[in-house]
Amino acid sequence: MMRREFGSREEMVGYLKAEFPEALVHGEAVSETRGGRRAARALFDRVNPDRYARSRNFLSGAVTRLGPYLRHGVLTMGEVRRGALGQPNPEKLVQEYAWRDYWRRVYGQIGEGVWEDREEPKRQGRVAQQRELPAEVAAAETGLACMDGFVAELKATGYLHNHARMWFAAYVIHWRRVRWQAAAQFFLTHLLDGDPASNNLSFQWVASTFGSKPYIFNRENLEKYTAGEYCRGCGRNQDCPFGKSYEAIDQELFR
Amino acid sequence: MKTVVWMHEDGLRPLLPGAPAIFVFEDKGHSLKRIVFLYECLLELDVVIAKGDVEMLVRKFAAEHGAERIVTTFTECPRITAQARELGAEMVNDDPFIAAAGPYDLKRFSRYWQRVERKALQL
Ligand SMILES: Cc1cc2nc3c(=O)[nH]c(=O)nc-3n(C[C@H](O)[C@H](O)[C@H](O)COP(=O)(O)OP(=O)(O)OC[C@H]3O[C@@H](n4cnc5c(N)ncnc54)[C@H](O)[C@@H]3O)c2cc1C
Repeated sequence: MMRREFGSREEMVGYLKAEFPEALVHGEAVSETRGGRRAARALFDRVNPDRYARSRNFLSGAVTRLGPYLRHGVLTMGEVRRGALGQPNPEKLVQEYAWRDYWRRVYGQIGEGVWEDREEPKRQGRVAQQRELPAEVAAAETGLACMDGFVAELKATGYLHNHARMWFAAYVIHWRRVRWQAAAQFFLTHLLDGDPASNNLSFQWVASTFGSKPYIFNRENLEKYTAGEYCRGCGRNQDCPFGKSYEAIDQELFR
Repeated sequence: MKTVVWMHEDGLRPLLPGAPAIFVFEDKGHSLKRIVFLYECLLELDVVIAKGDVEMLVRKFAAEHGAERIVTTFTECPRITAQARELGAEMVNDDPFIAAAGPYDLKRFSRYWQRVERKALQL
């Protein structure tokens, strides 16, 4: 039987480190995000579907951060859906909740098949696929302020905005030619909402093994939705691999 | 019939208030921050927290409470579903996104959304 009484969060973390030493290979960071229904309800009460619909693609947008609580059933999907419907303009948010429900239903059908390509990749470029996430990507040492920033945030907080997840997945899969499974495993380890359904199937969507075309982005897109936060101080401004038109990137990656 | 709840990581909420509940950690390759998150969720719930072999510990817990029935929250996770089957546990889908119906065509999200949109946008 494990302990339930602690004087402080630090004391609890110390206890868990001793009980789960195998977890420490992934680092010793602990997120500011608190577990439990009280913390979940506090976020839930702040959900604003109308602002969500207008700003969700921006890193500073009014996203809910309910991910970990939905992932672990602290809140139910029915509960958050009804919550949205009680407010103005709920359609977009409810549709995003539906994505989670959709991926979970697919998971229910294919189970561990989420680890295998659902379909042939479309328009694949150079075929050589790396099996492992390159060490400097995982260590946040690519020199690309965006990608390194995402990795650092992921490791420290267990959270990444949806758009950052998309950019990172596209970078690793299409620019670095890494098998999507390696990056998916990295995310599953560190995300508080890490879910083999939403995570692996979203990676497959980016890779085009569960979707009709590969997802790519360019610098202009990233700069816009991050308000330039990363590009401004980036040491690789001169050789930014994303600083081109979509057509040029498409040519380069999939020719 | 005396009932106990097996709580797993896809359902960290009360399922049968009043029924004794147990959660068992097994090695899932989680990072420390994920374990801390799960633990904080568990500390708010009336549940015994254990670590080790799920089937063995849940069976033992049920026996200690003289329970013949084990219930657990529904999940699509194949591992948890297999463990529930092994335990003879009933899976309860207490508050799904939309009342079941289906099966749906899951080839693409757009097809699925077309079928469920009306229901999903209705209180
Ligand atoms: C490469 C990649 C990996 C991902 N991995 C995961 C994962 O492991 N677990 C996970 O729950 N989501 C995952 N997502 C989906 C999405 O990024 C997260 O659900 C979302 O960013 C969580 O933050 P939030 O709660 O603030 O989301 P919000 O935008 O506020 O959305 C509210 C809730 O709706 C659901 N949701 C929203 N968008 C999506 C989506 N595109 N797909 C599925 N559900 C969605 C989530 O439950 C989310 O908590 C991934 C997306 C990508 C592109």
